[in-house]
Amino acid sequence: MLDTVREVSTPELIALRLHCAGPVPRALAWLIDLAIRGGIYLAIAIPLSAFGKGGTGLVLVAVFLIEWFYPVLFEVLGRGATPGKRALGLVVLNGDGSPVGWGPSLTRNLLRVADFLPFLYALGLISMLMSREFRRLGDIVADTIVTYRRSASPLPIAPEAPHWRTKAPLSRTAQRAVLAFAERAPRLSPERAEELAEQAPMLTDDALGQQAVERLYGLAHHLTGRER
Amino acid sequence: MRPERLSVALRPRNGWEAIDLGVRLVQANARSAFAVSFAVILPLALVVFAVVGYGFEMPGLAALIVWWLKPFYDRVILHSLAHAVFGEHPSLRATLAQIPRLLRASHLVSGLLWRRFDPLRSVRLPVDQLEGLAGAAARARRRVITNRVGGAGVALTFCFIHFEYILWFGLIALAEGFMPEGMSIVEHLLGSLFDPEALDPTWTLWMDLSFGLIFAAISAALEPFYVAGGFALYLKRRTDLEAWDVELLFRRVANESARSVAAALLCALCLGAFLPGAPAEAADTAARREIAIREAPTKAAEVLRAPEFGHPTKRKTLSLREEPAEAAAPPAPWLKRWLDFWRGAGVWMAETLRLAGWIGIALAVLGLLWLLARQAGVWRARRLPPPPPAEIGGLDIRPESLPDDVASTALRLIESGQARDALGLLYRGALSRLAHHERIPFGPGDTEGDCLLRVTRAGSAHRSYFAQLTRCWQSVAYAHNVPSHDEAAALCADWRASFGALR
Repeated sequence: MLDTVREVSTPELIALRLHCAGPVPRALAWLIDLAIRGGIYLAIAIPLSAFGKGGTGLVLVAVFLIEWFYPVLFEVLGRGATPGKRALGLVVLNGDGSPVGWGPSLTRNLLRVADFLPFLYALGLISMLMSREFRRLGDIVADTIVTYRRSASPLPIAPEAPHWRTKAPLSRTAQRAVLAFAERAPRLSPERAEELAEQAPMLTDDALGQQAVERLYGLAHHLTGRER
Repeated sequence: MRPERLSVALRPRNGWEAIDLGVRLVQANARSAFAVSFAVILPLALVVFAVVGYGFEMPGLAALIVWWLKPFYDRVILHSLAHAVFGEHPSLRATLAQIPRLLRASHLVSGLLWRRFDPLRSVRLPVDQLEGLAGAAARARRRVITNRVGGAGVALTFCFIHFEYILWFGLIALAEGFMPEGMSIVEHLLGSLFDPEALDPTWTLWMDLSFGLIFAAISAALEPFYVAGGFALYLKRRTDLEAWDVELLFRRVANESARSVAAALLCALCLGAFLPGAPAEAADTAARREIAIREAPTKAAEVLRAPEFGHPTKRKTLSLREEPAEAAAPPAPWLKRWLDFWRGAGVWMAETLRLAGWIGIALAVLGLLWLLARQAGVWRARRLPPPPPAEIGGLDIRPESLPDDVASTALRLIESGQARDALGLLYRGALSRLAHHERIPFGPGDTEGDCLLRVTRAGSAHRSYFAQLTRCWQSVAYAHNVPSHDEAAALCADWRASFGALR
């Protein structure tokens, strides 16, 4: 099954699923950061231009420092995301899913020089398009990945429904299926929701139409403890 | 539409993740996707550049035509990707044979005229091509599909337009870096913008033609990703609208309950003599994944062979001109001999150093290639499968940690009333044999359930025995249900029958 997920297991043997972010959202995040840095340079350069050559020197020093340390500072102190990444919901993590520290962050951002070659991140783009987890060269060397903070938008709560339980206990797959249905069905067309619910006769005692949907909702409320 | 045959994982995704899935889709089907895009774009671009660009001397118009025809290439690429999503891989010839049908039945005319500048064209393309609607129904359907993914679709188009230019300028910048002194592509480009009269027209024509062809090749390399991104957004939208993932879950629950009914019947009939067989679909997906893993190194090599990763270069070297012999008085014989010796020695030393330099460069290049190949995983295939771990979930499975005759040892333990240790030993021994002899890829963090799943997926001949053993071991380990003496002895005997011959 093709997916964009990296599975990592913690020392406690818990499997984590990290959702890797590809070139398109990362390019947009970079654009936002570029605009922010441009704004900062302007804000620094306008007052300092009053000081002639000395002012120009100070501006150059500021440009140097910001260009190199803007991503590092935000990634380490800002919980893994520059403002652009935060706007796109991205976060930089170590390969094992832990928060990124000074060493890896410095490495991946210093290697922007290599990714930038020969023109505007062409190498980084090729590397991202060719690697499974969309890593640019800096990510490969520092063993970091860029992931989504949250995979999908929060789902609605199923509407109220009469009490319903099955006779036999539900397997874990069946519980997952019922909960997934209750989360998704309110956004489906009513016809499709009924058609879907009728595909689970073992959970609804062969109910049909709207009744099948409501029985599944009732079951979901029972499973999540939302029952009155 | 049969969601159970999809080769992509279905789950709720946001638009960005769907686009990323498109990239993965192209990576996984790189051979067919790139074969199709290069086979369609490059020959057409060559013809257009030869006729319009060279024949009529209008390279700009030729580039415009090649660029304008993108919706046509997209349709052929989508045809290949849409089959790949269902795990089918039509040959290049079969795909190209579909072109006449695609020309008629995919709204190509509007796609090339008023919908050419549609920023959502990659998302709307699957509706046009795969759903076969027309008129108002098609318009309504396109609106529904693009409803919540509009932002991501526009961003996709925006980014890929820029990616194309980035790679194009990147190649030009790379070439510029290798130009000899006094020649400059960038100067030529700037010159053709600001002062076209001052340039040599033949030279300009050839430059423009080659730039156009390079751009066509870059389009061929990026277009599959763009089409796949739009296609993945379309799949996401349909998954959201029709909840395919929930449908698949329900189907799995139905299978499960059918299986448990069958199992209950069987147990009742045969007193639990055997378990129902492995689900066929699990074996099927496992086999497909195995094939994909096996093909991965060749696919990567395939991509590396594409024209962007290497092209002929012309090299010019400087060499000393022959100096005319100076008419000077012949030096004294001893001085001449002395000078000749040192001159010879100097030449000799210079030659040695030059040779050493070349050897050094060759070694550096070889080292770099080796690093690249290791990075690209060329040699990873030979190391497959990985060595089994020393421990699984805290159980030591190294063969040397086991007694020589596991079954007899376990039997002795049972006789002495240590059924828990005996079952532990049998289970550990079974894991060790399965890991070392059948090479079942257990992970160090697998639970008993995971192990059983892996054994069933791998289609091992011992899976029913292993399932029985796992059940007994779990009930001893976690529920302290000690099995009867006869049952435990039967397990030992079966262990010997299953694994006794393996060492």
